[in-house]
Amino acid sequence: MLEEKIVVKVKLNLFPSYYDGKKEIELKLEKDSTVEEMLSCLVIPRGDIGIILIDNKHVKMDHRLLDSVKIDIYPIFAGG
Amino acid sequence: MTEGYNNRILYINLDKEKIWTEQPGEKFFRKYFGGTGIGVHLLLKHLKAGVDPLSPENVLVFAPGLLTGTNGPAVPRFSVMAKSPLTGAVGKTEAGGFWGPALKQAGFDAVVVLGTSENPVYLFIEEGKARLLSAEKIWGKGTKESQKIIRVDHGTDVCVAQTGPAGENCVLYANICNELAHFNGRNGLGAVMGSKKLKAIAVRTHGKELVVNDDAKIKNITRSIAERMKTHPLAWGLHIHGTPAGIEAVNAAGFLPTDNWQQGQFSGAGKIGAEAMDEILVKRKGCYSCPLRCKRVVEIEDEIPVDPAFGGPEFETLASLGSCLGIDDLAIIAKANEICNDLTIDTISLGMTIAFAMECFEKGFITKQDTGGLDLRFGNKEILLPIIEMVAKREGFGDVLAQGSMRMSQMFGDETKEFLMTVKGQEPPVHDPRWKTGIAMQFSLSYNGADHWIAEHDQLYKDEDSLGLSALSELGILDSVDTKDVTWRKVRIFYYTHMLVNAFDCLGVCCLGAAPRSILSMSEIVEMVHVTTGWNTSLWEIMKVGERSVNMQRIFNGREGFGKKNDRLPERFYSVLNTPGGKASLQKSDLEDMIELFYQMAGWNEEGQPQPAKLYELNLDEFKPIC
Repeated sequence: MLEEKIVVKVKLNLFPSYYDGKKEIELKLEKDSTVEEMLSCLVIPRGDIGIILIDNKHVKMDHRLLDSVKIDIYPIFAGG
Repeated sequence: MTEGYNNRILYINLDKEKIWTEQPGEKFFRKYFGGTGIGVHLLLKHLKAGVDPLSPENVLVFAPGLLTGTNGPAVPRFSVMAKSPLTGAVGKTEAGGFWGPALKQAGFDAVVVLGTSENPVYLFIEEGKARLLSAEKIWGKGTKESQKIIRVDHGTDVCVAQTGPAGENCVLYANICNELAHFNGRNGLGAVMGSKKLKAIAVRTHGKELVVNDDAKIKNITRSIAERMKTHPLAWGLHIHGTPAGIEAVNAAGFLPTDNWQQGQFSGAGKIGAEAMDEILVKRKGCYSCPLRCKRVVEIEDEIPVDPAFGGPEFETLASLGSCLGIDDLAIIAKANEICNDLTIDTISLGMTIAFAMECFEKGFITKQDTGGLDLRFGNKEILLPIIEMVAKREGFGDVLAQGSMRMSQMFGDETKEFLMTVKGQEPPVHDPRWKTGIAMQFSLSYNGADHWIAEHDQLYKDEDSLGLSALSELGILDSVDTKDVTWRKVRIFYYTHMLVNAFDCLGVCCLGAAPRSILSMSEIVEMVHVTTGWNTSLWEIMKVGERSVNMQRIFNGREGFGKKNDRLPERFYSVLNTPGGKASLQKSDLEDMIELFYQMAGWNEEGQPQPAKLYELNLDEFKPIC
């Protein structure tokens, strides 16, 4: 039996030093993956991500992702 | 021979047209370093309490940091200090750029300006000498034209720190500009220059370098930063996107000040952020010897032409003149930035003052009769550019706005205090204390009115697995603390990083280049002090210089009547803000408890004044009688 997978789009807002400066990537994840599990698949360290949004809403780390969902991540911004 | 400093402080008495130099000696420089440390010491020494900030009695100090003028990375800064006409408290404002390094290279560690000139003058410094020259032909002119005229007279390599028409007309938030794109932005110290009829200080170095202990080792650190920055997310992000990246990120979090801080998300944020700015970006520039090059240069050639000579708007400007006013037109904001830079107006205080006026207007406290027909509704971008000119010239309603929002609130009634956004009379930078309690402490305690760079920001230590927390381990900060934490854990980190950032201001270190915000580590800073001066120093000694500066600023304010009652936030920051993450709020009692605990950690009494034991510990006993 084939394992079910989901594909999510991650918009990399203002992360020029990862993924060759790409602005969006796709991740293939296990069905029912959480936000926490999605973050662990990124090469960006968790601590360097400031904001995570799904449909312009903050989500908890245990939030389960649906197929085709679009996720926005932003870096830490701390004083300008 | 001294290394890293000149042992020469230049004094100018404008009343008597007298110029002289003092040599305070090595122990003085080791005790105060430079920048704010030297600046506030000289204010306490030469400035009497209670003077009118715009009178001849005020004292104006320009002081580069100890490392400024070396070939090190992220050390371009100098402080300008005086009693602030905006707040009545200590005036303190830092700038990067090129002027601070030039002053050190031209042979001086600080310039102290006393008295007032009868006629407009500027000071010209080269090869360890200074002379006063007539400024009649540049008085009334904008920064670009003034700089051009000075360079025609003295050479194209002259660095000019100057004030423009807003400073000449004593706009209470007029600033000081160098190289047209770097600013001692806050506290209205351009107005102090204007009141003294001192138009500019022009410096020529003739290519002379500052004598240091080991230049090769300093250059090695710069080279190392240049190599490492490409793989350092915080530093590289700053280089690629500059501070404007904050617009998108802070808006996404729900804390971008919008319509005078009534909301935290702006529908037009995408039109004024870093990605939108890429469309008009023509260059990335930096400060003296710094590889990070985080400054933007923008140019527009359409119907609203924007001159690249003035750089480009930073995060603070984009929010203050954009989201805070409900304006989402990047071309208008970039043009406003250019005009402010030419006329020397602090974009933060200007934006916040207009935002306050807009809310007054929409709520009926100000009418078109007051504004001379200006329609001050949020989002009305048509009024922005004309208003800036009116403020600088103090014409019509511009004369009211030129006094800042605290004085406007006094004019238009007590009810407007409900939405007056000032701390100690100064409008806040665009960071919401409901998001981060460390910012609540920064705004409340800052001696020069609301300031967002007197400690490190909360996001830098909120996660275990982060570059920020890793960098802070050099201070013994090992555990992450939540952005909304209100316990001793937050106060401790605030206390440590408050002293660190104040040490930066004595060294000339830029917060945007140094860890934890960026890449230059504390160990590298210690090494730089060592190879600049030859001193066998330590992070401990450096932190103590920062703490000394903090205590002197507090003493300055104490003698001007400031105390615990002034360490408070505007009421709006205690109201609930709806964000994508839910309702955000800050409890007044929590903040009061944090401030009280900070006083205790700092060795201050219940009113927030340093106790004698603390002054002895810091070797500041000379200031004990005035506490």
